[in-house]
Amino acid sequence: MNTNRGRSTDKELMELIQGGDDKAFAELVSRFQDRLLNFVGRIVVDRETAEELVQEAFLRIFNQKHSYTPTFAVSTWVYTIALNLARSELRKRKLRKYLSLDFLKEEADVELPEKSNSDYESLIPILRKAIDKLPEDYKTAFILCDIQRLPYQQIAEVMGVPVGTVKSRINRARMMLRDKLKPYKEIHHELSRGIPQTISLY
Amino acid sequence: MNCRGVSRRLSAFIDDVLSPGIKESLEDHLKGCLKCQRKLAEIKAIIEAAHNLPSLKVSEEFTERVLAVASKQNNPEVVSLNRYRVSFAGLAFVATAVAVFFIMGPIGQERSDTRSQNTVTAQFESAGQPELTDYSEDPSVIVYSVPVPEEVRIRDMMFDDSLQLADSSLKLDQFILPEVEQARENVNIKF
Repeated sequence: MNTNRGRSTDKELMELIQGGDDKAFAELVSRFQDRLLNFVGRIVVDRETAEELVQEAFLRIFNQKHSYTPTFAVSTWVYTIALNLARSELRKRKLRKYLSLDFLKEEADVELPEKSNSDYESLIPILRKAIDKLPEDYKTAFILCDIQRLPYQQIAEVMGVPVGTVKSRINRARMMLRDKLKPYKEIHHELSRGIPQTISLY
Repeated sequence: MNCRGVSRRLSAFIDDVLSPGIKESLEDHLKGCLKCQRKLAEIKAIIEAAHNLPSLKVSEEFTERVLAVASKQNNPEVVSLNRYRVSFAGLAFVATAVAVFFIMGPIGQERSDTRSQNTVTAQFESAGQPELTDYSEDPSVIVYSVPVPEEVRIRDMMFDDSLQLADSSLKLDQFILPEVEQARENVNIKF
């Protein structure tokens, strides 16, 4: 069994961890660390904080290993823990922002690089910033669906909302992103490449 | 299905979670609507771009760091130290409570030196009616616990010589109120 940790399913790994197998925990960390960083990192944006939160998430997983029940997928449990930590961080930031009166400052909207070229590379920072500007619940649903590629049912379990709400949030998030990218015709041209231009929206 | 209905269901259509009937109806609409086709293409492009966003990677020592901290937390010695830490906190709390008890006295107990001016007056308004606490039935017994008027007590405290004042009958006479004088006559207390 020990030699097959790499091939074990997530649930089998959790069983081993619950039995006190530290190497199984190491395997779980290596299996989820980048996925969680990509998830938490897109929510809190600051990479350093994201890594600290992911570390904290793994410590919680380790310390609360016996609270996991196989009713849910391990990934659902892991993502839920990480999401709770990310939300807590955002709440702290919001509080700090209000206490420091920074909320009085106007936030700059999505910025287009000065010299925009229509190739795909120019889209990345703008899309990233546009995702960051989404309301928290829409952003979380979008990241889980379109970056983490989780199914709707699992997203609903992680976020603790019905599947219908998830569908609606994902659709709304995508539409909001489309609207946010509207001012950038060059990028939009790139986005809508290959589509007949007989009807112009802009 | 109209454009608005299509717009609401575009994501579900892309993710293939629509029921067959609605999917068919949506596809029929798309065939004849370039505006919705364009919207569909834009949403698909955004999803594709999101899929291809550069992936973040944890720093090199991340795994080792997590395992080291987890192992440290799992170490029984550390756990027992943590338990002791809780015990020390409890002990400190109890010690503080005991100290407060001895300094302040039990809760609800009236302190002897907190009598107000009204209390002093009331004791001597009923002159002739013996006060059980302040004098003895035997008139020859000297009672030392003569209540001192509040303003005198406060002044004494200010000059920090109240003890000397209480011991000196000559000085005390200067501050005794007429009611006290009357009470003294009634109960025949000798100073």
